[in-house]
Amino acid sequence: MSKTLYLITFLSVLLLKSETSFSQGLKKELGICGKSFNTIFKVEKDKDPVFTTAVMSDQEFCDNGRYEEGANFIIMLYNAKNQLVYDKHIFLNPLTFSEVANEKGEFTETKISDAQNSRIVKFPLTKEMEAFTTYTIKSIKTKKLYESKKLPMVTK
Amino acid sequence: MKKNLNLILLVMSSMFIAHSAHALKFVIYTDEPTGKASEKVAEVMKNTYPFSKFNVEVEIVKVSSSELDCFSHNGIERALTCKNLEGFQERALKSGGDQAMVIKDLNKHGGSASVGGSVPVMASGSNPRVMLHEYMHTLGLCDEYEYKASEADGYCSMDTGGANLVFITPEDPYVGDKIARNKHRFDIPWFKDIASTTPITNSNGKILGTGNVDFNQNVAVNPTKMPSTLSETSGLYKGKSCNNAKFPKAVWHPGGGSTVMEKVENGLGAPLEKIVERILASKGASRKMQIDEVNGAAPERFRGTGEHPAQVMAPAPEMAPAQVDDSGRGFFKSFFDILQGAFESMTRSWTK
Repeated sequence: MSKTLYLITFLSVLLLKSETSFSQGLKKELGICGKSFNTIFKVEKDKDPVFTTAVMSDQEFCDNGRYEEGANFIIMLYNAKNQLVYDKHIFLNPLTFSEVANEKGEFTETKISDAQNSRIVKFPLTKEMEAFTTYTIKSIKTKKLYESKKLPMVTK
Repeated sequence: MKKNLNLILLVMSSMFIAHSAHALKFVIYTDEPTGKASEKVAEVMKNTYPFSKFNVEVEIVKVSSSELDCFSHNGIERALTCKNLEGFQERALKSGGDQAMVIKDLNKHGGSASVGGSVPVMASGSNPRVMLHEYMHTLGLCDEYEYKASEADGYCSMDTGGANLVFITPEDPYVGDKIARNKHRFDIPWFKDIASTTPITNSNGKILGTGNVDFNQNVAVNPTKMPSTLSETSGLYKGKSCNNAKFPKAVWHPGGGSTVMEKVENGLGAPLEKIVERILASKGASRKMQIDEVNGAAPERFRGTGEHPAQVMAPAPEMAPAQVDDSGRGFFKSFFDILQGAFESMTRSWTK
Protein backbone atom coordinates (compact mmCIF):
# COMPACT_ATOMS: atom_id res chain seq x y z
CA MET A 1 0.00 0.00 0.00
CA SER A 2 2.73 2.43 1.05
CA LYS A 3 4.86 1.61 -1.95
CA THR A 4 1.92 2.04 -4.29
CA LEU A 5 1.16 5.44 -2.81
CA TYR A 6 4.79 6.43 -3.15
CA LEU A 7 4.80 5.38 -6.76
CA ILE A 8 1.54 7.04 -7.71
CA THR A 9 2.46 10.29 -6.04
CA PHE A 10 5.95 10.35 -7.37
CA LEU A 11 4.80 9.66 -10.91
CA SER A 12 1.98 12.18 -10.79
CA VAL A 13 4.28 14.93 -9.55
CA LEU A 14 6.87 14.03 -12.13
CA LEU A 15 4.22 14.05 -14.81
CA LEU A 16 2.85 17.43 -13.88
CA LYS A 17 6.14 19.12 -13.33
CA SER A 18 7.79 17.69 -16.42
CA GLU A 19 7.95 19.44 -19.73
CA THR A 20 7.17 16.32 -21.76
CA SER A 21 4.68 16.69 -24.54
CA PHE A 22 2.36 14.28 -22.74
CA SER A 23 2.27 16.33 -19.55
CA GLN A 24 1.91 19.55 -21.47
CA GLY A 25 -0.90 17.99 -23.45
CA LEU A 26 -2.59 16.86 -20.26
CA LYS A 27 -2.36 20.30 -18.69
CA LYS A 28 -3.71 21.89 -21.84
CA GLU A 29 -6.51 19.38 -21.95
CA LEU A 30 -7.44 20.44 -18.45
CA GLY A 31 -7.80 23.94 -19.82
CA ILE A 32 -6.46 25.57 -16.69
CA CYS A 33 -2.76 26.05 -17.36
CA GLY A 34 -0.97 28.13 -19.88
CA LYS A 35 0.60 31.51 -20.38
CA SER A 36 -0.75 34.24 -18.18
CA PHE A 37 -3.24 36.71 -19.54
CA ASN A 38 -3.87 39.56 -17.10
CA THR A 39 -6.64 42.13 -17.23
CA ILE A 40 -8.22 44.96 -15.31
CA PHE A 41 -11.95 44.51 -14.98
CA LYS A 42 -13.95 47.63 -14.26
CA VAL A 43 -17.54 48.27 -13.29
CA GLU A 44 -19.01 51.73 -13.51
CA LYS A 45 -22.51 52.80 -12.62
CA ASP A 46 -24.87 53.01 -15.60
CA LYS A 47 -22.17 51.64 -17.94
CA ASP A 48 -21.32 48.18 -19.21
CA PRO A 49 -18.63 46.36 -17.22
CA VAL A 50 -15.41 46.31 -19.27
CA PHE A 51 -11.79 45.29 -19.40
CA THR A 52 -9.74 48.47 -19.44
CA THR A 53 -6.40 46.74 -19.99
CA ALA A 54 -5.28 43.30 -21.12
CA VAL A 55 -1.65 42.17 -20.96
CA MET A 56 -0.05 38.94 -22.14
CA SER A 57 2.68 37.38 -20.07
CA ASP A 58 4.90 34.38 -20.70
CA GLN A 59 4.62 33.43 -17.07
CA GLU A 60 3.07 30.00 -16.54
CA PHE A 61 -0.30 30.33 -14.85
CA CYS A 62 -2.59 27.59 -13.59
CA ASP A 63 -6.06 28.90 -12.90
CA ASN A 64 -7.24 27.29 -9.70
CA GLY A 65 -9.44 30.31 -9.10
CA ARG A 66 -11.82 29.84 -11.97
CA TYR A 67 -14.95 29.87 -9.84
CA GLU A 68 -14.67 32.42 -7.07
CA GLU A 69 -16.75 32.25 -3.94
CA GLY A 70 -19.66 34.69 -4.12
CA ALA A 71 -18.98 35.52 -7.78
CA ASN A 72 -21.19 38.21 -9.25
CA PHE A 73 -19.91 38.20 -12.84
CA ILE A 74 -19.23 35.54 -15.46
CA ILE A 75 -16.57 36.40 -17.99
CA MET A 76 -16.59 34.51 -21.27
CA LEU A 77 -13.64 34.72 -23.63
CA TYR A 78 -13.89 34.00 -27.36
CA ASN A 79 -11.31 33.34 -30.03
CA ALA A 80 -11.17 34.75 -33.55
CA LYS A 81 -13.62 32.09 -34.72
CA ASN A 82 -16.07 33.35 -32.11
CA GLN A 83 -15.77 30.11 -30.16
CA LEU A 84 -16.09 30.23 -26.42
CA VAL A 85 -12.70 29.17 -25.17
CA TYR A 86 -12.75 30.04 -21.50
CA ASP A 87 -15.10 31.21 -18.81
CA LYS A 88 -14.45 32.45 -15.32
CA HIS A 89 -16.72 33.41 -12.42
CA ILE A 90 -15.37 36.37 -10.49
CA PHE A 91 -16.34 38.65 -7.67
CA LEU A 92 -15.97 42.41 -7.85
CA ASN A 93 -17.40 44.41 -5.00
CA PRO A 94 -19.58 47.07 -6.63
CA LEU A 95 -19.09 49.31 -3.60
CA THR A 96 -16.08 51.34 -2.53
CA PHE A 97 -15.59 52.44 1.05
CA SER A 98 -13.85 55.65 2.09
CA GLU A 99 -13.28 55.35 5.79
CA VAL A 100 -11.50 57.27 8.52
CA ALA A 101 -10.51 55.58 11.76
CA ASN A 102 -9.35 57.17 14.99
CA GLU A 103 -6.37 56.19 17.13
CA LYS A 104 -8.42 53.46 18.84
CA GLY A 105 -9.07 51.80 15.51
CA GLU A 106 -12.73 52.79 15.46
CA PHE A 107 -14.19 54.09 12.23
CA THR A 108 -15.54 57.56 12.66
CA GLU A 109 -16.35 58.62 9.10
CA THR A 110 -17.54 56.59 6.15
CA LYS A 111 -18.58 57.27 2.62
CA ILE A 112 -19.89 54.40 0.51
CA SER A 113 -20.11 54.72 -3.23
CA ASP A 114 -21.27 52.48 -6.02
CA ALA A 115 -19.91 54.80 -8.71
CA GLN A 116 -17.09 52.53 -9.91
CA ASN A 117 -14.66 49.83 -8.91
CA SER A 118 -12.10 47.61 -10.61
CA ARG A 119 -9.78 44.67 -9.97
CA ILE A 120 -7.11 42.53 -11.57
CA VAL A 121 -8.30 39.29 -13.16
CA LYS A 122 -5.91 36.62 -14.49
CA PHE A 123 -6.58 34.01 -17.14
CA PRO A 124 -4.54 31.12 -18.49
CA LEU A 125 -4.01 30.94 -22.23
CA THR A 126 -3.15 27.62 -23.80
CA LYS A 127 -2.24 27.12 -27.45
CA GLU A 128 -5.46 25.23 -28.07
CA MET A 129 -7.49 28.23 -27.05
CA GLU A 130 -5.78 30.35 -29.71
CA ALA A 131 -5.74 34.06 -29.00
CA PHE A 132 -8.60 35.58 -27.10
CA THR A 133 -10.07 38.36 -29.17
CA THR A 134 -13.44 39.21 -27.68
CA TYR A 135 -15.24 38.84 -24.40
CA THR A 136 -18.74 38.87 -23.03
CA ILE A 137 -19.75 39.58 -19.46
CA LYS A 138 -22.82 38.35 -17.68
CA SER A 139 -24.09 39.66 -14.37
CA ILE A 140 -25.03 36.76 -12.11
CA LYS A 141 -27.27 38.97 -10.00
CA THR A 142 -29.33 40.54 -12.78
CA LYS A 143 -28.73 37.78 -15.40
CA LYS A 144 -27.96 40.57 -17.85
CA LEU A 145 -25.67 39.59 -20.71
CA TYR A 146 -23.60 42.55 -21.86
CA GLU A 147 -22.61 43.22 -25.41
CA SER A 148 -19.52 41.43 -26.71
CA LYS A 149 -16.40 43.60 -26.84
CA LYS A 150 -12.86 43.45 -28.20
CA LEU A 151 -10.05 42.90 -25.73
CA PRO A 152 -7.95 46.04 -25.19
CA MET A 153 -4.55 44.42 -25.60
CA VAL A 154 -1.54 46.45 -24.59
CA THR A 155 2.11 45.50 -24.80
CA LYS A 156 3.98 45.05 -21.59
CA MET B 1 5.44 4.87 12.70
CA LYS B 2 8.22 7.24 11.73
CA LYS B 3 8.24 5.69 8.30
CA ASN B 4 4.52 6.31 8.00
CA LEU B 5 4.95 9.94 9.01
CA ASN B 6 7.62 10.44 6.39
CA LEU B 7 5.36 8.88 3.82
CA ILE B 8 2.46 11.12 4.80
CA LEU B 9 4.65 14.22 4.65
CA LEU B 10 5.91 13.22 1.24
CA VAL B 11 2.43 12.53 -0.10
CA MET B 12 1.03 15.78 1.28
CA SER B 13 3.87 17.92 0.04
CA SER B 14 3.75 16.30 -3.37
CA MET B 15 0.03 16.87 -3.61
CA PHE B 16 0.41 20.47 -2.63
CA ILE B 17 3.19 20.97 -5.14
CA ALA B 18 1.06 19.41 -7.82
CA HIS B 19 -1.93 21.52 -6.85
CA SER B 20 0.01 24.75 -6.42
CA ALA B 21 -1.59 27.58 -8.26
CA HIS B 22 0.04 30.85 -7.50
CA ALA B 23 0.97 33.00 -4.56
CA LEU B 24 -1.35 35.85 -3.78
CA LYS B 25 0.74 38.88 -4.65
CA PHE B 26 0.20 42.32 -3.15
CA VAL B 27 2.15 45.24 -4.58
CA ILE B 28 2.48 48.19 -2.21
CA TYR B 29 3.37 51.57 -3.73
CA THR B 30 4.67 54.02 -1.17
CA ASP B 31 6.48 57.33 -0.88
CA GLU B 32 7.71 56.54 2.64
CA PRO B 33 11.49 57.01 2.82
CA THR B 34 11.93 54.21 5.36
CA GLY B 35 9.21 51.85 4.13
CA LYS B 36 8.46 50.84 7.73
CA ALA B 37 4.69 51.17 7.50
CA SER B 38 4.73 49.13 4.30
CA GLU B 39 6.72 46.41 6.03
CA LYS B 40 4.22 46.37 8.89
CA VAL B 41 1.36 46.04 6.43
CA ALA B 42 3.23 43.20 4.71
CA GLU B 43 3.61 41.47 8.06
CA VAL B 44 -0.10 41.81 8.78
CA MET B 45 -1.09 40.52 5.35
CA LYS B 46 1.25 37.55 5.60
CA ASN B 47 0.77 36.62 9.24
CA THR B 48 -2.91 37.01 9.89
CA TYR B 49 -4.83 33.76 9.75
CA PRO B 50 -6.08 32.59 7.24
CA PHE B 51 -3.70 34.62 5.02
CA SER B 52 -0.87 32.92 6.92
CA LYS B 53 -2.11 29.62 5.54
CA PHE B 54 -1.60 30.72 1.94
CA ASN B 55 1.45 31.70 -0.02
CA VAL B 56 1.30 35.47 0.17
CA GLU B 57 3.94 37.64 -1.50
CA VAL B 58 4.29 41.34 -0.86
CA GLU B 59 6.36 43.59 -3.10
CA ILE B 60 7.10 47.09 -1.83
CA VAL B 61 7.76 49.65 -4.55
CA LYS B 62 9.02 53.09 -3.61
CA VAL B 63 7.62 55.94 -5.66
CA SER B 64 7.70 59.70 -5.38
CA SER B 65 5.02 61.77 -3.67
CA SER B 66 4.21 63.44 -6.96
CA GLU B 67 3.61 60.04 -8.55
CA LEU B 68 1.14 59.16 -5.82
CA ASP B 69 -0.51 62.59 -5.97
CA CYS B 70 -2.61 61.95 -2.87
CA PHE B 71 -4.94 64.40 -1.20
CA SER B 72 -6.91 64.10 1.96
CA HIS B 73 -10.43 64.81 0.89
CA ASN B 74 -12.87 62.44 -0.70
CA GLY B 75 -16.25 63.75 0.27
CA ILE B 76 -15.30 63.45 3.93
CA GLU B 77 -12.64 65.30 5.86
CA ARG B 78 -9.37 63.47 6.53
CA ALA B 79 -10.14 60.62 4.14
CA LEU B 80 -7.22 60.00 1.84
CA THR B 81 -7.26 59.28 -1.84
CA CYS B 82 -4.79 59.53 -4.70
CA LYS B 83 -5.19 60.60 -8.31
CA ASN B 84 -3.20 57.92 -10.05
CA LEU B 85 -4.71 54.78 -8.54
CA GLU B 86 -5.62 53.23 -11.90
CA GLY B 87 -2.03 53.73 -13.02
CA PHE B 88 -0.76 51.80 -10.00
CA GLN B 89 -3.27 49.05 -10.59
CA GLU B 90 -1.94 48.74 -14.13
CA ARG B 91 1.64 48.64 -12.88
CA ALA B 92 0.72 45.89 -10.43
CA LEU B 93 -0.99 43.99 -13.24
CA LYS B 94 2.11 44.17 -15.43
CA SER B 95 4.32 42.92 -12.62
CA GLY B 96 2.11 39.89 -12.07
CA GLY B 97 0.42 41.27 -8.95
CA ASP B 98 -3.08 40.45 -7.81
CA GLN B 99 -3.73 43.58 -5.81
CA ALA B 100 -2.20 47.06 -5.73
CA MET B 101 -2.10 49.02 -2.48
CA VAL B 102 -0.91 52.53 -1.70
CA ILE B 103 0.68 53.81 1.51
CA LYS B 104 1.07 57.56 1.68
CA ASP B 105 3.79 58.98 3.87
CA LEU B 106 1.59 60.95 6.24
CA ASN B 107 2.56 60.51 9.86
CA LYS B 108 1.06 63.71 11.13
CA HIS B 109 -2.37 62.76 9.95
CA GLY B 110 -5.00 63.15 12.64
CA GLY B 111 -5.89 59.49 12.50
CA SER B 112 -6.14 56.53 10.23
CA ALA B 113 -7.32 57.18 6.75
CA SER B 114 -8.21 54.71 4.10
CA VAL B 115 -10.10 54.06 0.94
CA GLY B 116 -11.35 50.55 0.24
CA GLY B 117 -11.83 50.60 -3.47
CA SER B 118 -9.93 48.95 -6.28
CA VAL B 119 -6.67 50.19 -4.78
CA PRO B 120 -6.80 50.58 -0.99
CA VAL B 121 -4.99 53.66 0.27
CA MET B 122 -3.60 54.15 3.76
CA ALA B 123 -1.65 56.84 5.58
CA SER B 124 1.65 55.61 6.98
CA GLY B 125 0.62 56.84 10.45
CA SER B 126 -2.34 54.49 10.47
CA ASN B 127 -2.69 51.17 12.15
CA PRO B 128 -1.41 48.66 9.55
CA ARG B 129 -4.49 46.53 10.18
CA VAL B 130 -6.50 49.21 8.37
CA MET B 131 -5.14 47.75 5.13
CA LEU B 132 -6.39 44.30 6.12
CA HIS B 133 -9.84 45.78 6.75
CA GLU B 134 -9.79 47.49 3.37
CA TYR B 135 -8.57 44.41 1.53
CA MET B 136 -11.36 42.40 3.11
CA HIS B 137 -13.80 44.83 1.50
CA THR B 138 -12.39 43.84 -1.88
CA LEU B 139 -13.10 40.20 -0.94
CA GLY B 140 -16.73 41.09 -0.38
CA LEU B 141 -16.85 41.56 3.37
CA CYS B 142 -18.93 44.36 4.82
CA ASP B 143 -18.40 46.73 7.72
CA GLU B 144 -19.85 45.65 11.04
CA TYR B 145 -19.81 49.02 12.80
CA GLU B 146 -22.77 51.32 13.16
CA TYR B 147 -23.09 53.71 10.25
CA LYS B 148 -24.16 57.28 10.80
CA ALA B 149 -27.62 58.13 9.54
CA SER B 150 -26.26 59.83 6.42
CA GLU B 151 -24.48 56.64 5.26
CA ALA B 152 -26.94 54.15 6.69
CA ASP B 153 -29.82 55.55 4.63
CA GLY B 154 -28.02 54.99 1.35
CA TYR B 155 -26.21 51.75 2.13
CA CYS B 156 -29.06 49.98 3.88
CA SER B 157 -31.48 50.76 1.08
CA MET B 158 -29.14 49.01 -1.40
CA ASP B 159 -29.75 45.64 0.30
CA THR B 160 -26.50 44.32 -1.15
CA GLY B 161 -25.16 42.49 1.88
CA GLY B 162 -21.96 40.51 1.60
CA ALA B 163 -20.00 37.49 2.72
CA ASN B 164 -20.39 38.45 6.39
CA LEU B 165 -23.61 40.45 6.37
CA VAL B 166 -27.15 39.63 5.40
CA PHE B 167 -30.33 41.64 5.61
CA ILE B 168 -33.19 39.56 6.99
CA THR B 169 -36.36 41.09 8.33
CA PRO B 170 -37.45 38.59 10.97
CA GLU B 171 -40.91 37.11 11.08
CA ASP B 172 -42.82 37.27 14.28
CA PRO B 173 -42.89 34.67 15.68
CA TYR B 174 -41.10 31.64 14.21
CA VAL B 175 -42.41 28.19 14.95
CA GLY B 176 -39.17 26.46 15.81
CA ASP B 177 -35.53 26.58 14.78
CA LYS B 178 -35.96 23.97 12.05
CA ILE B 179 -38.57 26.07 10.26
CA ALA B 180 -36.36 29.16 10.55
CA ARG B 181 -33.38 27.25 9.15
CA ASN B 182 -35.37 25.98 6.21
CA LYS B 183 -36.72 29.44 5.51
CA HIS B 184 -33.39 31.26 5.61
CA ARG B 185 -30.83 28.65 4.59
CA PHE B 186 -30.42 30.22 1.12
CA ASP B 187 -30.44 33.78 2.46
CA ILE B 188 -27.45 33.29 4.76
CA PRO B 189 -24.17 33.17 2.78
CA TRP B 190 -22.35 31.35 5.62
CA PHE B 191 -25.19 28.92 6.36
CA LYS B 192 -22.97 25.89 5.74
CA ASP B 193 -20.68 27.09 8.55
CA ILE B 194 -23.50 26.98 11.10
CA ALA B 195 -23.43 23.66 12.93
CA SER B 196 -26.72 21.82 13.27
CA THR B 197 -26.31 22.14 17.02
CA THR B 198 -26.13 25.94 16.85
CA PRO B 199 -29.60 27.42 16.74
CA ILE B 200 -30.34 30.44 14.57
CA THR B 201 -33.28 31.30 16.80
CA ASN B 202 -33.76 31.95 20.49
CA SER B 203 -36.67 31.93 22.95
CA ASN B 204 -37.63 28.37 22.05
CA GLY B 205 -37.33 28.96 18.35
CA LYS B 206 -39.65 31.94 18.28
CA ILE B 207 -37.22 34.81 17.71
CA LEU B 208 -34.63 34.92 14.94
CA GLY B 209 -30.98 35.09 15.91
CA THR B 210 -28.41 33.01 17.73
CA GLY B 211 -27.99 36.19 19.74
CA ASN B 212 -26.84 39.76 19.37
CA VAL B 213 -23.24 40.61 18.47
CA ASP B 214 -21.50 41.57 21.70
CA PHE B 215 -19.48 44.56 20.53
CA ASN B 216 -17.71 44.74 23.88
CA GLN B 217 -16.17 41.36 23.22
CA ASN B 218 -13.09 42.10 21.13
CA VAL B 219 -12.09 39.14 18.97
CA ALA B 220 -8.41 38.36 19.45
CA VAL B 221 -5.92 38.84 16.62
CA ASN B 222 -4.68 35.49 15.32
CA PRO B 223 -1.12 35.74 13.95
CA THR B 224 -0.64 31.97 13.89
CA LYS B 225 -1.04 29.42 11.13
CA MET B 226 -3.85 27.71 13.01
CA PRO B 227 -7.51 28.74 13.05
CA SER B 228 -8.99 30.45 16.08
CA THR B 229 -10.59 28.27 18.68
CA LEU B 230 -13.48 26.24 17.39
CA SER B 231 -15.55 27.33 20.39
CA GLU B 232 -16.25 30.54 18.48
CA THR B 233 -18.94 28.94 16.41
CA SER B 234 -20.64 30.50 13.44
CA GLY B 235 -24.23 31.50 13.91
CA LEU B 236 -26.64 34.28 13.08
CA TYR B 237 -25.91 37.30 15.25
CA LYS B 238 -27.76 40.58 15.06
CA GLY B 239 -25.56 43.55 14.14
CA LYS B 240 -25.95 47.31 14.25
CA SER B 241 -24.85 48.71 10.87
CA CYS B 242 -28.30 49.94 9.91
CA ASN B 243 -29.62 51.01 13.30
CA ASN B 244 -29.36 54.68 12.39
CA ALA B 245 -31.10 54.44 9.02
CA LYS B 246 -34.34 56.33 8.58
CA PHE B 247 -35.97 52.94 8.28
CA PRO B 248 -33.73 50.71 10.47
CA LYS B 249 -33.07 47.27 9.09
CA ALA B 250 -32.02 44.08 10.80
CA VAL B 251 -28.52 43.01 9.74
CA TRP B 252 -26.91 39.72 10.71
CA HIS B 253 -23.32 38.55 11.02
CA PRO B 254 -21.72 35.11 11.43
CA GLY B 255 -19.79 35.89 14.64
CA GLY B 256 -20.85 37.04 18.08
CA GLY B 257 -17.92 39.36 18.80
CA SER B 258 -16.37 42.59 17.53
CA THR B 259 -14.15 41.76 14.56
CA VAL B 260 -11.70 43.68 12.38
CA MET B 261 -14.66 44.73 10.27
CA GLU B 262 -15.91 46.69 13.29
CA LYS B 263 -12.66 47.83 14.86
CA VAL B 264 -9.31 47.46 13.09
CA GLU B 265 -7.42 46.37 16.19
CA ASN B 266 -9.54 43.25 16.50
CA GLY B 267 -9.05 39.90 14.82
CA LEU B 268 -11.25 38.03 12.40
CA GLY B 269 -12.55 35.35 14.74
CA ALA B 270 -13.28 31.78 13.69
CA PRO B 271 -16.42 32.58 11.63
CA LEU B 272 -14.73 35.23 9.46
CA GLU B 273 -11.59 33.12 9.20
CA LYS B 274 -13.62 30.32 7.62
CA ILE B 275 -15.25 32.71 5.17
CA VAL B 276 -11.99 34.42 4.15
CA GLU B 277 -10.20 31.10 3.83
CA ARG B 278 -12.87 29.86 1.47
CA ILE B 279 -12.69 33.04 -0.61
CA LEU B 280 -8.90 32.95 -0.88
CA ALA B 281 -8.97 29.28 -1.87
CA SER B 282 -11.62 29.96 -4.48
CA LYS B 283 -9.43 32.74 -5.90
CA GLY B 284 -6.78 30.12 -6.55
CA ALA B 285 -4.25 31.18 -3.91
CA SER B 286 -1.97 28.26 -3.15
CA ARG B 287 -1.79 26.90 0.36
CA LYS B 288 1.40 26.46 2.31
CA MET B 289 2.32 22.99 3.38
CA GLN B 290 1.59 22.73 7.08
CA ILE B 291 2.41 19.98 9.55
CA ASP B 292 -0.87 20.53 11.38
CA GLU B 293 -2.74 19.53 8.26
CA VAL B 294 -0.99 16.19 8.28
CA ASN B 295 -2.76 15.09 11.44
CA GLY B 296 -6.14 15.70 9.93
CA ALA B 297 -6.93 19.16 11.33
CA ALA B 298 -7.63 20.77 8.00
CA PRO B 299 -10.10 18.19 6.67
CA GLU B 300 -11.93 18.41 10.03
CA ARG B 301 -12.77 22.06 9.39
CA PHE B 302 -14.34 21.26 6.10
CA ARG B 303 -16.24 18.23 7.36
CA GLY B 304 -19.99 18.67 7.18
CA THR B 305 -19.68 21.90 5.28
CA GLY B 306 -19.90 20.41 1.84
CA GLU B 307 -16.64 22.15 1.12
CA HIS B 308 -13.28 20.55 0.64
CA PRO B 309 -9.93 22.03 -0.29
CA ALA B 310 -9.68 19.73 -3.28
CA GLN B 311 -13.08 20.79 -4.55
CA VAL B 312 -12.47 24.47 -5.10
CA MET B 313 -12.11 23.84 -8.81
CA ALA B 314 -15.49 22.15 -9.14
CA PRO B 315 -17.46 23.88 -11.88
CA ALA B 316 -20.24 26.10 -10.64
CA PRO B 317 -23.66 24.71 -11.52
CA GLU B 318 -24.85 27.75 -13.42
CA MET B 319 -22.26 27.78 -16.18
CA ALA B 320 -21.05 24.69 -17.94
CA PRO B 321 -19.47 25.92 -21.15
CA ALA B 322 -20.35 23.60 -23.95
CA GLN B 323 -17.24 24.26 -25.98
CA VAL B 324 -14.68 23.84 -23.24
CA ASP B 325 -13.50 20.31 -22.77
CA ASP B 326 -13.57 19.69 -19.04
CA SER B 327 -13.41 15.90 -19.12
CA GLY B 328 -9.70 15.87 -18.45
CA ARG B 329 -10.19 18.19 -15.52
CA GLY B 330 -12.83 15.87 -14.04
CA PHE B 331 -10.52 12.88 -14.40
CA PHE B 332 -7.67 14.81 -12.90
CA LYS B 333 -9.76 15.96 -9.93
CA SER B 334 -11.11 12.47 -9.31
CA PHE B 335 -7.59 11.12 -9.33
CA PHE B 336 -6.49 13.56 -6.66
CA ASP B 337 -9.69 13.01 -4.68
CA ILE B 338 -8.97 9.29 -4.56
CA LEU B 339 -5.39 9.95 -3.58
CA GLN B 340 -6.41 12.42 -0.92
CA GLY B 341 -9.11 10.04 0.39
CA ALA B 342 -6.55 7.27 0.74
CA PHE B 343 -4.22 9.64 2.48
CA GLU B 344 -6.88 10.85 4.92
CA SER B 345 -7.91 7.34 5.87
CA MET B 346 -4.25 6.56 6.50
CA THR B 347 -3.78 9.60 8.70
CA ARG B 348 -6.94 8.80 10.65
CA SER B 349 -5.80 5.26 11.34
CA TRP B 350 -2.36 6.56 12.21
CA THR B 351 -3.64 9.18 14.69
CA LYS B 352 -5.88 6.57 16.32
